[in-house]
Amino acid sequence: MKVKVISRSTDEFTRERSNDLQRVFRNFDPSLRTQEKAVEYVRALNAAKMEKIFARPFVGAMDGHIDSVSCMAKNPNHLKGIFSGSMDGGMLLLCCLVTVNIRLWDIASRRTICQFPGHQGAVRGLTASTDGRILVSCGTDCTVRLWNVPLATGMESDDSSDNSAKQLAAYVWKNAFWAVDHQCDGNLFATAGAQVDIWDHNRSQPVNSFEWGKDTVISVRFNPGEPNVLATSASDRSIAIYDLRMSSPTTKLIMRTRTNSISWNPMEPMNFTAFLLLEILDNVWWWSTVLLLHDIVIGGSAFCLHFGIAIYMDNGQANEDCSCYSYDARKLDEAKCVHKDHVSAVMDIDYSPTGREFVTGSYDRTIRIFQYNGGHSREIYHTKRMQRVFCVKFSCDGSYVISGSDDTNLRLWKANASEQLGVLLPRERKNHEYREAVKNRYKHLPEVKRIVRHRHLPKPIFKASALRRIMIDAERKKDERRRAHSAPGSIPRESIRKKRIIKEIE
Amino acid sequence: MSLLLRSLPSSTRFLLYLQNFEPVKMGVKKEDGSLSKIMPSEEQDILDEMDIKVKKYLRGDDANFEALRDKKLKGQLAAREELYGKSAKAAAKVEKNTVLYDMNLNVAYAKRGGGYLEAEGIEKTWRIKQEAIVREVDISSSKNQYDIVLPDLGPYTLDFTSSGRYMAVAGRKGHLAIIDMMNMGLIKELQVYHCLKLYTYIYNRDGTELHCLKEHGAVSKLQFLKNHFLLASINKFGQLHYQDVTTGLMVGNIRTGLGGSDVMQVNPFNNVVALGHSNGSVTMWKPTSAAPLVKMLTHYGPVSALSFHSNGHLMATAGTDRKIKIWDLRKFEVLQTLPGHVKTLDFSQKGLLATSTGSFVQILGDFSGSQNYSRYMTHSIAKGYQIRKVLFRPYEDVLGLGHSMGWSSILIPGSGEPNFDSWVANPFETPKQRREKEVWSLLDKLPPETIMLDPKKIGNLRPPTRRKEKPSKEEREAEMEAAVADAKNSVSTKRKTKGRSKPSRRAKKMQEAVERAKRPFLEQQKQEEELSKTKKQKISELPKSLQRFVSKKAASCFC
Repeated sequence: MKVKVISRSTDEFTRERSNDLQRVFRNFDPSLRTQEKAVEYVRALNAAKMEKIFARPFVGAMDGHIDSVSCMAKNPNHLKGIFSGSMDGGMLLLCCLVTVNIRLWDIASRRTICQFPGHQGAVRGLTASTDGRILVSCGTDCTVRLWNVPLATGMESDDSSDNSAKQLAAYVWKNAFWAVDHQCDGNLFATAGAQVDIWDHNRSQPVNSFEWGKDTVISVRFNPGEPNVLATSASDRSIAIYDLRMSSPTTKLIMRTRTNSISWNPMEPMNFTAFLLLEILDNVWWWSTVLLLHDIVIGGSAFCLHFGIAIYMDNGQANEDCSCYSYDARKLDEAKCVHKDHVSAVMDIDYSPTGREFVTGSYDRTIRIFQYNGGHSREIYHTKRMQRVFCVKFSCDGSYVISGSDDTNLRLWKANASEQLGVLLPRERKNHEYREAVKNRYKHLPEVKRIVRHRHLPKPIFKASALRRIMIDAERKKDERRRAHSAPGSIPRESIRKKRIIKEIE
Repeated sequence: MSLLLRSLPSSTRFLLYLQNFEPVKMGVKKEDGSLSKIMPSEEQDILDEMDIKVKKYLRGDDANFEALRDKKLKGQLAAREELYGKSAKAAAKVEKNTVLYDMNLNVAYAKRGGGYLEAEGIEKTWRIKQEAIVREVDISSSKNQYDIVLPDLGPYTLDFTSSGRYMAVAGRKGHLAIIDMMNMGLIKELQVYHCLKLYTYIYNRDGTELHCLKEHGAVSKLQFLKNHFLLASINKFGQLHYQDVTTGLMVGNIRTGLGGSDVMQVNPFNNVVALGHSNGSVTMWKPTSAAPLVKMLTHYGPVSALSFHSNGHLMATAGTDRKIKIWDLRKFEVLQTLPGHVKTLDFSQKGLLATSTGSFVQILGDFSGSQNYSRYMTHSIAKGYQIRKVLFRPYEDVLGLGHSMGWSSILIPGSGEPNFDSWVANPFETPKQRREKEVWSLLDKLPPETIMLDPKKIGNLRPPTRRKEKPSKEEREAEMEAAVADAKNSVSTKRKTKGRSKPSRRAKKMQEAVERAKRPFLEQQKQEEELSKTKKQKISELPKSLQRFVSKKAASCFC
């Protein structure tokens, strides 16, 4: 007879000393875990609920400006710093005060650490050089000013209120400026106004200027990958792409609505070429357009342009189209993706450094975050006190969103509403990952989906979006009827991706 | 495997490695095809064994991507499927290796062999006495073989916690005790006097009465669904109650309509409650429906005992018709019928089946691997003791017996799962761990709706329902002709007694048969015609100006 029975000695299965970790034994046999799918489903449901409980995106407000915040610039060299410019020029001129309408903020402490007094009117554009040493500002007082940015090390300790920086230079020019952007890895910057001017740091006059049409250029943005390429938008509803190495513009696209601002997406290529997404956002208070530009860089000299366009349209009384379209830059005649959700004009747009999502600020007093290829926003942020949003920025690490609005405040938001801030322990992190995974696995089940999708909307926005839906439906229905009562083929179906483009000029 | 790898050139080795890590289904095919020539039979055996184990961890077949048109989704699903394959493979590898210890995480992926009992020579396993086994095993195990004699307060029934650490015993006359099985220490013992009131009471660890559940009535059997925190009870009027013990809510109150029953068991696989009735049927219930999920006739005569295998596919029933039946719950078919008068039954974690009657216990085992249960061990306690309950202790090779004169415990080698999982049920749990686990298990409390016959259905898509298409006119006519031809053939042409098979009679008979065959078709046709007529009438009832708005689809089906 051979016999053996299970015999476990306590020493083998318990810890030796009280300082030791408890011993853990695993057996992955499925028959030990009954109803594992049901358990997983319940965990997914709990994870979805917990995400909602912990969704507290608002981190804090930065108060200091005395008029609405018109523009912001990230400091590429310092994660915690952000520059903001406001529109408080005109009012203070009357009081004969020196206006302080550019500030440098420390995001961590949410305090002004440096002020840049000098502009006599509203500041319309701000940008920092790639090394983060020089700040360029322009405004309606027809001046371009260069400032020396204080070093990052001295920033935290400075607490006094009047630590204002001295300007390096002030260049006066013929016309008011609307926007400014600095070249990546270079000494040049471009301003937009009556025409596009290219400036050097050390010259008091533009080194080059471009003009295509007579209307005002309202935004300009350099391509982060190809330093000689820039895109502009003008109030004649056009979006133009310029190459500094050529004397004339490369491409011009005429849209149904005006573009407000432009932002390039630093996206990684999927093939061997370097892809860059340029995004242009257009807005004339009520009418706005967002355009995404794609650009392939081959070698360094030859490149072809790829675009995506997104259009937001809205007017005070009746909306026609409030959706946003992103385009493949190789095919400018058609949008790549349509991003819908805002109910009013989009004022600013900025890509996350990862290139997977972008944030938009809108005249409807909300901020939305979109996937780069998602038709609808994944997130909406709003507060009772936040007014029209004029500028938004993703932080350089992609984990925060900063918005500047009409109510003179800058607001700091988490990019991921329910993210836990601070250092995570490994076990905590694993728990978060597990929750995310089960939620992702059961996201299609109705109960989980309902909880994950739910967002509370302010009443005006809720009503406006319902109204928009009705209007779009009515228009579609009317179109269908018109088509049904016409000769077959006489009214072609127009793709929503193509609708907003009038023509493309080479 | 490793020996073989070393002997092969490096390129082949790489290939082998790749094949090993491919999704399992493909791997099997390839290994069967190309590798069988190279492999010695032993290696092949190891691979086969591995495949069986991997299959266990795969939890079902691969998804079928053939019909998918979305390339992106296809890619995502394929990647996920590959991950499943890998994890199953890793789990199977852990099971195969002896002991794996991760120093960083302080986790042991232990593989300890289970117990066994093997006969040598002319010995038979069922002739081996408990005394002989006790002599052979180590001291700590031999302590698990004992008899507690308490003649006054019996008969006793008993229950173990899911980790097998604690045991609760209850005597008919109100004697309750909780025992720590690790050191055989008595945690609490109490005598209750209201056992004659026939209500259900809840006590805490200190023996304090917390709740009296009067709504359950005179309960004859209680079961606890630990994933759902539901207390299920059947009373002598045949009412099945489900009460949520965390909120006190009565989740289900079902009249079975089959009379009182004292045979009740929860299927651990899907938490469906099964009841055995005096008319020989077994019914299965969930709290959210008033009708039974399954009603099956198992015995000719009252059902006396019922037990489920932990994998949920096997059920054993015993009836007063002196039969033990093993059922396949996937097909609801009898796999095996064994003779024997049995009062109580229990499946162990490893699939041994304990049966008992009077003072005699018999353990059946499935050693062929084909669900063919045969005698494994037998045991008799002192004569005259009536065994009321047999129950295997989880994670131990021990069988507990509650009988009229106390309780006993015997050793059954090979009955328990040798490897426990600390996160599922830990026999060495500290009080702090227990508290922590209580919170987590409350967070994972399942809603009662998750009790269903196939628990894997959660999160799956419902298969598309095919609408039955109407047969066309030709098809219907062809069907009718076939039926008529059949009827003609079936009329016998045999000559019968004089006068009964006159040509006229035979013709009449034939005609009758044809008419009989045609009747159902004609009736159906008539019904449809009537239906369409009423619809037409409805349309014609409309004012003429509105008739043109009746949808064409509806109109076309009328003609």
